[in-house]
Parts: sequence; C-alpha cells; structure tokens
Amino acid sequence: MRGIIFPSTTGVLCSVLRAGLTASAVAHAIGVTVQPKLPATKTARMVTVRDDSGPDDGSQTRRRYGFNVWADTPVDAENLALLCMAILRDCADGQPITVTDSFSGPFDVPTETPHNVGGKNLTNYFFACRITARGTNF
Amino acid sequence: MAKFRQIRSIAEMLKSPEIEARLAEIGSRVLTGAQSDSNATYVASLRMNAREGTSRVTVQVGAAPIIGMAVEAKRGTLARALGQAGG
Repeated sequence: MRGIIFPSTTGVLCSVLRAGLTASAVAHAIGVTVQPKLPATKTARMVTVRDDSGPDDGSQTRRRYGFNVWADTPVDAENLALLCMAILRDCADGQPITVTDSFSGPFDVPTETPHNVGGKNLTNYFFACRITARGTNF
Repeated sequence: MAKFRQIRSIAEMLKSPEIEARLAEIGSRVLTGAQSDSNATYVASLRMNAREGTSRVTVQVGAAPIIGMAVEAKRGTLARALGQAGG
C-alpha cells in the first residue's frame, strides 16, 4: 500500500481567485492583488489567502482558510469579499479541491492603523471557509 | 423470553451527557490552543460555554466581539486552535 500525499491548496486558491476576478465584469474586481501575504507595495484592492490548518481523514484534507480583503471604499471592500466568496463556492472541480463549505463572514475588521493607498484609507473585510482537497498516492 | 437491548434514539443521544462531555473535551483543547495568542486582552476574553439547544447540545468557544474579530482576521487563532484540536 502506498502513502498519501496532500496537495498545497494556497497557491491553487490564489489562482482560482485571480482567474475568477479577471473573468468578472464588475468594477471592484479590476486590479486586485491576490497573494498569500500582503505585498510590500500596497495596492487599492488586495486579497490575502491564509491557511489556518485542519485535519485529514487519510484520503482528504479539510483545512480552514482565512481571506482578508482590502479596498479603498467600504462598499468595494464588502462587494469584493462577497465576489471572492461566490468564486470559491463554485471552484470545486476535484483537481484537487473537492468541496468548499462552512463559509462565515464577510465582516468589517476594526483597524486602528489602516493601510493608505493614494491618500485613501483601505477598508479591511474578512471571511473564512473550509477547503477540502483530495490526496494522491506518492 | 428474548432479551432486548435498551437503545437510545439519535435525538436523545445528541442531547446526552456523554456527547456534551466529548464536545467539552474538544472545546477545552481549542480553548487551550487559543490561549497561546500573544494578545492578553483577547486571551482574557476567551470563553467556553455549553448549552442544550432544541435538537442537540453544543459547546462554543469564542472571544469578545470586536477584539475577537480583529484577532481572527489577523492571525486566525481560533481556526488554528480548532485545526490543532482535530476539529
């Protein structure tokens, strides 16, 4: 019997979000930076993807993910977070993500020192969900 | 005369002390994990509560609303503690 190796899903989720946002026609999806960590040079719209870990059952891994979303208006930040959630709800294709569920949020994160881009303070929204991905033989 | 085992319904089991004890055991591990956060105010606000709902007993671990939201967005402390506890 061969062992099971689980895929790293952070990069996959970044790619899924980038593709979904690029394909979207709405204005708040334009020029969004999607990365695991905040870029050194902040942009007006940003999304970070954070793996908060989780258990596996020997064939599938179920990990909680936290998504921080920033935009230069509160309305754009909330709409961008909602759009990201919609993209993630629809991304399970078995390669390797099999299920996305247990969504919670988005909510406005209270920030004492907000990032400032182009003279505007960025609004931070947060949401979380669970990502299930299948393992493969190695 | 045939002997019948006394079995409980699922609905009864979901409210049983055994299920509550098992959930409390997992909740305690989550609470202990979250207490390692670096923000003392956040740690002081962490609570674990058990309550019986209409269909099942639940155990909740949470922090005070505003600081809890900020810490979860920044570090995912409770999500990570839940993952470590096998939840």
